[in-house]
Amino acid sequence: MKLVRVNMTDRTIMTEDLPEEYKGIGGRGLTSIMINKDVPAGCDPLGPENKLIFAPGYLSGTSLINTSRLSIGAKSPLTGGIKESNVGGTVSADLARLGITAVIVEGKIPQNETCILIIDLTGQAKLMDAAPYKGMRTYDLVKKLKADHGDKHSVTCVGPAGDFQFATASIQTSDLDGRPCRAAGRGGLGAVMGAKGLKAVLVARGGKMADTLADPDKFKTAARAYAKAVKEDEFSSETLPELGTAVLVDPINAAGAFPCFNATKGQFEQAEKINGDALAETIKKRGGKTTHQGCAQCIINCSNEYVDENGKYVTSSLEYETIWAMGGMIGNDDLDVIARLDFLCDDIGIDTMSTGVAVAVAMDAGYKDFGDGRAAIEMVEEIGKGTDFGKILGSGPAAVGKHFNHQRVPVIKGQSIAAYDPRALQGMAVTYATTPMGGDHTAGWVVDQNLADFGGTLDPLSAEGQVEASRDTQLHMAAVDSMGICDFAQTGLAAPGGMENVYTMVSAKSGEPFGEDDWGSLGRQVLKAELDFNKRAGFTAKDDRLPKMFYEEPLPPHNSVVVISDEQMDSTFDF
Amino acid sequence: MARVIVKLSGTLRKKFEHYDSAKGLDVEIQDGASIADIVAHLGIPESKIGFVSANGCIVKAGSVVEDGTVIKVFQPIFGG
Ligand code: SF4
Repeated sequence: MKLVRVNMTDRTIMTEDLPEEYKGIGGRGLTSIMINKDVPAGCDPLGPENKLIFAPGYLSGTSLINTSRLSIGAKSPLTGGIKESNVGGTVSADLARLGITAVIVEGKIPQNETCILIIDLTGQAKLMDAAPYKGMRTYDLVKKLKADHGDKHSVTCVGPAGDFQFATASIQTSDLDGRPCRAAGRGGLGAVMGAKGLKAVLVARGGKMADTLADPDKFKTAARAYAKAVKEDEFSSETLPELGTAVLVDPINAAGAFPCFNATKGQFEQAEKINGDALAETIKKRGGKTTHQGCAQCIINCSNEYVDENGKYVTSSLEYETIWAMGGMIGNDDLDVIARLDFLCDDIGIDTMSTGVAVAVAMDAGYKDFGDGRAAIEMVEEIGKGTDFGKILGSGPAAVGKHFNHQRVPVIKGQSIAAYDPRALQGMAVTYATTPMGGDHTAGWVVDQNLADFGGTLDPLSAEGQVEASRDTQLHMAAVDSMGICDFAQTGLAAPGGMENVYTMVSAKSGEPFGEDDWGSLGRQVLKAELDFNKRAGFTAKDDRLPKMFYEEPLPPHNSVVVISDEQMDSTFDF
Repeated sequence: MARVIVKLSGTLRKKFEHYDSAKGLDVEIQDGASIADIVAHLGIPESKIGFVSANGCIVKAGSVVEDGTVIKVFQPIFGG
């Protein structure tokens, strides 16, 4: 349990014992509470006062399955508020196995210099000059890092978009195959890393210094029961391995909640060309991989390896949100174009969702035609080259809207929505509007509750029950994100006795009692810290609103608008 | 009798040998049957169903199906 504090201004590194107040907290809980306490809310996100924190989930590095989720936190240059974006791959498990609770990157390197941070198997960290790596795209970068430093590391890095400090730059991290295809995409954290002058963090794999467990036997029993529940669930054991997260295209499209053509329609007529079946069939026919393990300790394997007609590698972990952003949202039904755009975004180090939406806004403004895949590829290439237009695109959809003086821009607090239109899934309106993260789906994904029990739980077009559903889910997710559990392994939490298993594991690690109330207060503590930061950064209730388009432009096929009132929005976090 | 087309999403189709995803299943059922009757007729347990759409609209279990309807059955989903 230690903190590695890296000061980029004077290139010093200090290793400290974890302060008492952070014991028992990991992942998002740690990044958000620490940022709220130590980062001046009014600071320039790209300045020396901001801190970039990498924190494995509390259960990362243990034997529990699907726990290699790394939370990355900072003040966001995209939203101007607090941000946590979490990512899979192997780095979270790697850091946790070195007994590292968080790496805190502070200060800012002098202009034009660049460093990489290397953490070795003894947990020692050092900064190395990295001028030759500056500006490199991520796939070439990991290759060169491998040649220079060996392949026994995970690599967490930025591409040119991060070097340029574009507001939607991502932080990419390597999967089990060593490819930088996993993204902490949201909130422009890549720009923060680029601004600090940190090109990459290399963490030795296979550490043996994970935190000791207070009660290893108790932990093992609960971890086994959890894994069994995930294996027994059809969605995580059959559907995701076979079809990947692309399986969501059909149900969300059928629900009329698949935003396409810059969210002017809720159903994509050509959805069958880009759905889970189409993706799996294309990959199989060409000799690529479905059922691909993307992250350490995963037993679900939702990832994939997409290849072209000649069987040549194109991209990995092509996921639902990207298929939407680079597919329906820009009116494109060509999987090859989607896969190419996914690769480009990973390689340039830019968020696929914000970028797809930025392209969609430009197309909607008449810059290019919807569905023009070649134009989309050229536009994204401009981000990588850092041209004037690339700079606008890389700054996100709001910047594109401003450039073209175009009003239809689906962003909240500056960040784009994800692949669920809030007019057809009212609960997502509440989440998008009220989460401290800006337009974000993972913060409170209430899609399942709206599309369950034969449509009997919540009516997706009605306001009834949506605020409560979003609030409960946001509180729950704040705790889940602090544990490092992959969203898709939540079938283990939902199973009978699933939550108790998690409480048992937390308690068996910390040696302190932990139960339902503690879970609830963890979620509240995290959200309170985030809301507090945003308030001090200048956010008011007016920022918890959706753009006008969602209240005023009915979305076909339901022709519905968002019906959650301002008062209802404001009652979401009344604690 | 009413004739409907039933399309199965995700891995539900695995239970039906020779399922053709383009065509779906051609199902004949007595007039006045509900969505719940059809899925029961196909032997799909309700616990394996998230929601059902009929001609593109989400419908409840008790909705009565008309001749010629295209029904899509979706599994419960998780995500985020
Ligand atoms: S289910 Fe997918 S995202 Fe989750 S740990 Fe496995 S490969 Fe990674």
